[in-house]
Amino acid sequence: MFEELNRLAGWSTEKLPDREVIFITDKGCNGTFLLHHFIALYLKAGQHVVLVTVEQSFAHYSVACGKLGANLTKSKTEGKLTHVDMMKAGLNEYLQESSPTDQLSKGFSNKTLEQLNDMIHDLVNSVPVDKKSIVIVDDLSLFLSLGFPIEDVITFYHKMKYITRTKPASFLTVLHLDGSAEDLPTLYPNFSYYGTCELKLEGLESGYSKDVHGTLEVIQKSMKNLRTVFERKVRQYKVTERTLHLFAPGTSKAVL
Amino acid sequence: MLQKLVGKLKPNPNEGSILIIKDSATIPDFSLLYSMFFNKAALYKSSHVILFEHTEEDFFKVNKGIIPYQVTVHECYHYQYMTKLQLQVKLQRIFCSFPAEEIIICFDSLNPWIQVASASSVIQTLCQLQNLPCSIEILAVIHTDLISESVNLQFSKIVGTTLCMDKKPSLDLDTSKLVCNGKSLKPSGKILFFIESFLVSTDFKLETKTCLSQSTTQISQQNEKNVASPPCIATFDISTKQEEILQKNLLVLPYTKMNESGSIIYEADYDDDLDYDDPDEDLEF
Repeated sequence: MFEELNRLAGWSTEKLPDREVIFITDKGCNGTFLLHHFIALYLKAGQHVVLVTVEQSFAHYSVACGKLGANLTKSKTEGKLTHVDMMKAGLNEYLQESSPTDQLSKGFSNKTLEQLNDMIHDLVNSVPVDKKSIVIVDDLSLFLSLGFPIEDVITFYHKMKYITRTKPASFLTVLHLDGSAEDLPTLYPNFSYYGTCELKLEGLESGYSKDVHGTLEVIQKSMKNLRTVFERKVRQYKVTERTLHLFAPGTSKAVL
Repeated sequence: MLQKLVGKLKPNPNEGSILIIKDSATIPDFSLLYSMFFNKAALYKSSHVILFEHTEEDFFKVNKGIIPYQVTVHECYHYQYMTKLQLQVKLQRIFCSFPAEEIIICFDSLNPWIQVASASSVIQTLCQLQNLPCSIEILAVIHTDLISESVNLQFSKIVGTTLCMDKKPSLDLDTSKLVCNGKSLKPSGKILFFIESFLVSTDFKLETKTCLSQSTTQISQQNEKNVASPPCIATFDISTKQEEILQKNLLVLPYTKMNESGSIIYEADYDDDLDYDDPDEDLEF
């Protein structure tokens, strides 16, 4: 996991995000590497992870998190990680195949998101009371591209928010702001309003750089004296396979 | 002006008032709503809070037992799991439980209700509450960036006072304060515009400072389209009376005669040398 990001946001294996709704937005770059960080963080802390894959396969996350020191296959066997494969459901929908096992794998229907929510609810309920959990949906905005109406996606997001208030669980998802879905601009305000923490990634305006991959802004919302206060921290970052380097804008080693 | 709104007289029965606070994702705020509600609630016999975005636990954490009088809290936090009909039934039960006396109702947000039901259904219900045979005041928050412009417009038609916090405070103001752009419709038809910065203390007292002087606009009930008429803006009277318009319409201009084809018929004088030959006769078309 990325220690520098933990230090920036005030997280650690002893102080995990508590009942937070975290969303990652990226524009001009790909922010899904932060999902690997959260998976590794929770597993290393001995807490539970519910991973809903829509964009990438389980094997992808297994390899990526392996480099951060987390063994996803072993965690799955031990029951610390639960995987919900929405990619398979999408493939079955495309190939018009149905699996006799679970309802979700049979393909998409207008009740898919409701069924997914019920499944996540049951999974979070089954986690021991003294354990925290995190629900990770690797790309909620992809449901728009898959033909789900925006109202259903927003309702699902609100239900995930409800789970974080009623259970010791957090929710994490990614929103690609330069995606092609028409309703994307409508989705972002909902995420922004009801989320408690935004990790905003932007590529450099000047283009690709070997030493600086983009800007990371951590926006944490809290209540102080009845007012909603935003705490913003901006850094530039360089991500490698195993580490995330954060530095103040303009202070990259390549520049100094 | 905000202080005046807090101390505003109770509305008459069947003429309930609605105050909406509009915020956005960049400037979300509940402090003004709670400040107005808790200060006004002392004047009413019955105070109700309907929570869509906060739990009852959050609400009591906010007021920390400061409020001495009874506030009835109705939690609808699990609205996401309700159908439109279920939510409607729940809200009807809440509204039916209101005593037939002075009531103040506070909605922490109308957006979840709009999401489950529809904007028109919410507006209809608010209008019905407004017309209850008792003195009723409704306070609510709407997140403007989660609703369309048409829905925004629909709400502005039924709302008496709108307080907008969707504009960022300017740099020369104290950044600990928020800026509120207000619009209040008076019973006489005047609309009062004001901009004030405000700060809500932990005991919900409101401190305000006027940023811009108030301006008023008189709404003419006859001319709701607000079209500027030339006679009003000219320094001399160029309006025409009915008789003058009639005479103008009856006037026929010289050399103009209407026939069936609409062409101009010219009758030549004695001295005119008219040539009836075709000038293009030698051209081969």
